Amino acid sequence: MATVTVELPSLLAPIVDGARSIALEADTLRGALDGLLERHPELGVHLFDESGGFRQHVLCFHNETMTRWMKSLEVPVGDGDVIRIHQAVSGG
Amino acid sequence: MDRYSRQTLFAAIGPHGQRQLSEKAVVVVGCGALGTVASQLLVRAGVGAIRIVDRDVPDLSNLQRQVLFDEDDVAAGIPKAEVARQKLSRVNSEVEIEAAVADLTADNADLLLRGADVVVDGTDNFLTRLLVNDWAVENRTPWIYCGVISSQVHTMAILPGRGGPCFRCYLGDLPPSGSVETCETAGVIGPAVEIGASYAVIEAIKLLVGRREEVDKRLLILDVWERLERKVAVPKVDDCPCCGQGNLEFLRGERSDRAAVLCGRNAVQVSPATATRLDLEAVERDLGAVASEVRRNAFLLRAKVEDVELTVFPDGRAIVKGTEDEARARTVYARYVGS
Repeated sequence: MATVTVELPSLLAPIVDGARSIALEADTLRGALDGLLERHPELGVHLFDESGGFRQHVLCFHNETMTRWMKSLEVPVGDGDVIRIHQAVSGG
Repeated sequence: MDRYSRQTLFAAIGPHGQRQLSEKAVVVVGCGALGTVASQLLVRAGVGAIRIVDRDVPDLSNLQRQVLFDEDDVAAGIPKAEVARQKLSRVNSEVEIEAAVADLTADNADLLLRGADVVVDGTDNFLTRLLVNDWAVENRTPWIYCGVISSQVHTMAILPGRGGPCFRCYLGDLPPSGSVETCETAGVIGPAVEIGASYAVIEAIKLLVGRREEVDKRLLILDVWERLERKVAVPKVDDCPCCGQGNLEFLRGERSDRAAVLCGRNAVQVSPATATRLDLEAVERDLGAVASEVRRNAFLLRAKVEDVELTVFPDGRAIVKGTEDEARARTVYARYVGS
């Protein structure tokens, strides 16, 4: 398994006791996200909809690639990969 | 001394760019935090004409970041767009400034956006941005998306008709009501607004002075508190409903929040543009710090916000009691439920 880092936006940090990044062991991107939810199930409602997909306003990047443009989340991850989660910003 | 001497010394603008700028028109949609900063920068820079569109009046809680308003404006209750027009006219009388006190909707979008060389985003919700995007794609007019919340900024120049992505390629669709944090629920700091609007106006000025090739079309993500910066190349989506398939459903009025005055009740019902199931417990959490008298049961959530009573239902509907002004009700909905 590879060690990957999940970076969360500051708006979600309070839900995970202020953590901004979380290290996880995983083989795939899907596995890393499952691991994140296993450790912090309370993030689920903020990130995923009823069908299990990312909510419309959640932007997830695997290194430099946004997952919305991936055909599948079953892509291998390597040591040092970073999964960054942002939320689209609507305020003004 | 020439009013613009310091700006024309900047080689990328120069005297030629300044002349170009003085012949161009901009529409700023929304005159809140982003809109006041953007309007001021554009007027001081010497754009030829600017139309400022806003549906709201200044409130005391705006003054922390909405730079064109002061305590007198709050007391006077004059609409934001008109206050901005008056103040900016004193800043630069050479600029033709128009105040449009209106709620941008599918019905008036063409009237309010027509003539713009660039549209600058000062709105506070995705519904209006998707409407602007539909109009911009149909009219092949560039616009600059900018959103702020907390200490975060997202901004992207959108150049329809040039092979790049539109806003809908990026966002996909309208997020369900209540799923997105708003400045009213998550807060926002003034520096994030100033920096975000400044980045947006820089790209607008590049377009207005004829330096389109220098426009950075990537999505810029900033966290100004943490000094984080990311630039993301957003791809054009071939089957994008808007720029790919030409389905301009927001501009056609097929996707809009519906507001209806409830006769005799001094209340307006606002329904979401997208069918949704709201988590009332999450809404209650978000409203906790900004509302009073928050009560929730299995069927609804009720809270006092500003000077109205907001009742929110699990299907995303809300009743805003204490006003018969549909635009005001939509504003309250966008602020506290989100869109």
